[in-house]
Amino acid sequence: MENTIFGLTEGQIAQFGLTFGVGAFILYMLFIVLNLALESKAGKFGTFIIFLVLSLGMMGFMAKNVIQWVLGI
Amino acid sequence: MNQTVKPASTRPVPVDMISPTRWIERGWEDLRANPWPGLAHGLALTVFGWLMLWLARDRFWLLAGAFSGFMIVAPVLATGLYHISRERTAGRTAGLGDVINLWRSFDGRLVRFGLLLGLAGTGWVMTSAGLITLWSPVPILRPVDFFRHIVLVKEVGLFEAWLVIGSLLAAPVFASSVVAIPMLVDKSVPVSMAVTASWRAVADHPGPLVWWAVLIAMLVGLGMVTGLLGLIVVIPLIAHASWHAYRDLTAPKSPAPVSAL
Repeated sequence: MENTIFGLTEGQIAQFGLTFGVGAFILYMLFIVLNLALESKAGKFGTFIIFLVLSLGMMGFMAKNVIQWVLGI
Repeated sequence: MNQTVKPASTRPVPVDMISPTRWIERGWEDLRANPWPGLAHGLALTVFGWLMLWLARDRFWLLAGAFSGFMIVAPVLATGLYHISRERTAGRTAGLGDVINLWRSFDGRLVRFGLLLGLAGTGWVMTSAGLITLWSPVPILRPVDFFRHIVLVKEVGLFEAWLVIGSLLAAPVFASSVVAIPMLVDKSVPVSMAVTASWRAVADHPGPLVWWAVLIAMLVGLGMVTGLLGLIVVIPLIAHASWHAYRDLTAPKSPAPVSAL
């Protein structure tokens, strides 16, 4: 029988870690970029571009995970 | 013919992070108050989308080009709905007849702006095709290839890079049009002045406008996953909301004292 921790297999824990870990990493990146934009005085338009790119990228990453979850991949 | 109705409660308010949801709320009120012109626009554009899907079902790049172009040019196609929201703000009701009259006026500025947006869309599809062709491990010829080899791969990579580059290209298009198109409907200003006002609004409110762009992308995404059916409501909702975004974004920064109104 496969070893489990709290009823979860190693593969499931790794998948959970990957999905939420990368999500948390992206949020952390947004925080760093916000600090950078503020400290470097990148300008409001630069801040807009940086955040639009990161936000849409993050949204795409989440959408990809949702599609994979719905399709059971 | 215009009828006089109770004006909508749409005095411009200062823009903050809550504003995009407030614009959606006001857009929803406009749609509910006068649903048929909006739903007619939504249905026409959805049927066009279905037609594109059917015609280009096996040719991914044609389909991608058609949809990207559609997304970029849609704000110009919805100008009639800005007019309807403007009339409601002024306490009048406008119908499909007024929208047709607006189209028949064949405003050269809107046509020119629409053509420029179309050009930007073509640039995006060409860049996108270049990126995917260079980096994809297999040739992407059909929509199913794109989903299987780009979207559904477990690793973080090409799909995310594609989105980041797409967003980089979409940012100036969004910044140029978010205020410009409703302004071209509202005022007799040249395209260059409308685009400058649009960029200024984005520079003044970067946070709320990123949230507005994300909200639009989420709503369009939701409309698309319903087999485009949801777009019948989403398109007019965003169009009416865009009018209210324009009003708030171009309102004078310090409101005049009440006694002066």
